[in-house]
Parts: sequence; C-alpha cells; structure tokens
Amino acid sequence: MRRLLVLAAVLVVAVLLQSTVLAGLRLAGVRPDLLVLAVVAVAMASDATTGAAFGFATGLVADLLFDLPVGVSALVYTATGFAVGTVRVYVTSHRPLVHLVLAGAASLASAWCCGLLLRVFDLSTWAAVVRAGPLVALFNLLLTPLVYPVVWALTERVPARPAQRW
Amino acid sequence: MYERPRRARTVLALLLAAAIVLITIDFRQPDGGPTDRLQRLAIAVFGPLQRGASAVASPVGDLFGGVAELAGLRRENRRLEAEVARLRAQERTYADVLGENRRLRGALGMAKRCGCRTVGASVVASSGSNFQLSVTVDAGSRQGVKRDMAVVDADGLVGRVTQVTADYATVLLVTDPSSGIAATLARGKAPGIVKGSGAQLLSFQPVRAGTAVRRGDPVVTQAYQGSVFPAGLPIGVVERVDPAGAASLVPRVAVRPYAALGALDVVAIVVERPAPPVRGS
Repeated sequence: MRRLLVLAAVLVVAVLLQSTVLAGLRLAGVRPDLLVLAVVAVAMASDATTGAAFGFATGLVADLLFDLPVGVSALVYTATGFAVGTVRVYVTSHRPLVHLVLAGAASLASAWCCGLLLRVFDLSTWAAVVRAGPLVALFNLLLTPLVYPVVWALTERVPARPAQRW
Repeated sequence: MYERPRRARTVLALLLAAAIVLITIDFRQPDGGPTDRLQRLAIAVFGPLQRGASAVASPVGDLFGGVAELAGLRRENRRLEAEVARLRAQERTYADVLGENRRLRGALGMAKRCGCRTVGASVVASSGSNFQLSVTVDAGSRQGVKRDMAVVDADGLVGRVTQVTADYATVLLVTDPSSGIAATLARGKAPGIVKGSGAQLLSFQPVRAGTAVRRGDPVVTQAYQGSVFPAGLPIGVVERVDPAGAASLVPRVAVRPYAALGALDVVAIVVERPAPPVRGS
C-alpha cells in the first residue's frame, strides 16, 4: 500500500513538473521528457511488472492531460517500463555511465515510438518525429542526474511485498 | 527481488492490449464518449494542482530561461545596434510607415473591431508532450466556453478549444500539426486553410489554384456555417511564398503567426460572434 502511494506521488509530481516547469524549458522546440525518466528509474529500482504498470499509469495520465490520442503514451511507456525492468537483471555495474546510457536509449526509443504512432495517425510530421528523438534523449541525459537518484531512492526504500507463493 | 517472468509477461500483454483498446475507443468514439469523460476528469483533477505548481514554479522556469538566454545576449546586442542604425535611417520615412501601418490595421479588422463577446483566461499549463502543442487555460463551461471556440491573445489567433471541463479548457495551438483553420487572405479574400507544422511557421493552403499571394499579405480567419469562429481575426502574415510548380498546383505559403505562442500567459476566448447586421436598418 505504501509502495502504491509512493509510486502515485512520483507520478503526480512528474506530471506536474512536466506540464509547468519543463513546459517553459524549450530548446529547438523540444523539451525534456521527465515522465519517461520516471518510468525508467522506477523500472530499474523495482522489476518488469512494476515498470510496465507504472509506465501504463503514467502514459494514461499524460495522454488524458496533454491532449494526445488516449492510449498512445500508455502503450509506449508500458513497453519502455517492461523493457527496462527486464534489462536491469543484466545491468550489474553500478557505474553511472551505464545508467545514463540506458536512460538515454530509453528516451530516444520512447520519443521515436510515440512520434511514429502519432505520424501513423496523421497527427504529426516526419520532420518533427525525426528531430524530436535525439533532442529529447539529449535533454533527458542532462536531467537524469537530477531526477534518477531521487526516484530510485524513493522507490527502493519501500520494496514490494516479499514474494508470496500459494 | 525474485520475479516470475511468466507473470510479468502476462501483465505486459494485458497492459498493451488495454492501451490498444483505449486507442481504438478514442478514435471511434463520438464527442462525449468514455475516453472523453476520462479526459475531462483528468483535467478537472490536475487543473488546480497545475495552477498551484505554475504559481510556485514560474520564477524557477524564468531563472532557467534567463541562464539559457545569456549566451544569446551578446549577439542580440550587436543585432540591436545594427537595428538602431537602420531605424535612424528610416526615421525620415516614418510618416509613410505610419500611414501604411494604419492601412494594414484597417485591412486586418483587428479583434477589437470584431465586436465579439470574449472571456479572459490565464494559461495554467501547457501540454507536456513534444508532439502536441496545446495549453490548458482556467476558463471552462461555467464561463460559457464550448468546444471549437476561437482563442486569441493581444496580437492574433492562438488556437481552438478542444476540450472543456467546468473550470478549465484545453486549447489546441494553431502551430500544432493537427490544427487546420479556415482562413482568407485579407487582401483579395482568397479562401484557404491555415495548417500548423509543429514549427514556428504555419502554412496557408489556398483552395483555388492560381491564387496570387504576396509576401507581407495578412491572413485572417474565415467564418463558416454553424461555428462561433468569427471572421477577420488576424492569424499571421505571409513570410515566404514558394510558387506553384511541378510539385504542387497551389503555391506553398509560409505564414508567421501574430500571436506570441511561445510565451502565452493571458488569452481571450471568443464565446459569441457579433450578430449579423440587421437588414434595412
């Protein structure tokens, strides 16, 4: 229960920051995607199931609030959360560089997937999609050292219930 | 932490399926469908939070903005010096420029002269997505705001209302790639559509081939049947014209919007367009 509350708090704060503080931080028409960073951090600090579920919830709120076709971000963030949660088993290194690369790659992939879906629905242009990916990844790399440790610490402090078997 | 991979895969499959179902519902539903109601709920819940966060965060955002701008200040200074020199040279033609300005304003039919009833609103948040250019404003159905109403700032058209709750509304900006607005050239009244491109410039697509468009032509909104969109709201000014050629029948026209879309704070929503003049009076 406490874990659910912590994850919900992370979600709400990330969405608020994304739509207020970060909305003004535009370079070349693109802003960082704090939400995908939160999804990556939660998935890294927990597991694939939590990552996917947190990704779905975050994406759904983003879709509803940011006037996107409902389900698009949910789809992309679910896949991102699951992928990161699966990969984390193989990431044994504690070197920050590894985590930076992972966060950057996840940002690039999610921005491009999201853009691709919107392009398919004719809601965006190829030029905007192609440009957004690397720029979002770059901004997120700058933001990662600020966001990642906070979310990580919060999520890890309240671990999931010990595995129950029945 | 131990995790059973099969359970994780089941959860993933369920969530992905749910997302795809949501996308399908969202595209097929009429106005007021299930995801529409969800969306209104989300805006109603997050609206007040966003307003609070905006109030706290705006100085922080300004600080970041200020640091980012520092690098450009030196160049800006040089540019301004050059501009002062140029303006001094132009001073002698000031009277002519003033006259032209007045004529231009007359042609535009500024929002003031439109005589529309408007509702003022502040921008409380902007879309966090990189692919959707929209803002949330703090006026909703309680203030008489409805879908598809025109939103303007002091300089020109900002966008169109796409979602309304009791106290908040979402406005799709004219620069969004999915935005399309009926428009005419203020000079010559050639009809067309103004579309967003995701970048700063809009594109004006004339309906008729052979429409003559010149750089500097103002573009204004056009009223259409059954909408509250008033005619003659200034949208922008033609900045570049690629003449019709082998690639397209109509000229490609880039339009620079008048509205300060990068730094919106206060907007007005046109809730009622002026009554048509009574015949015979």
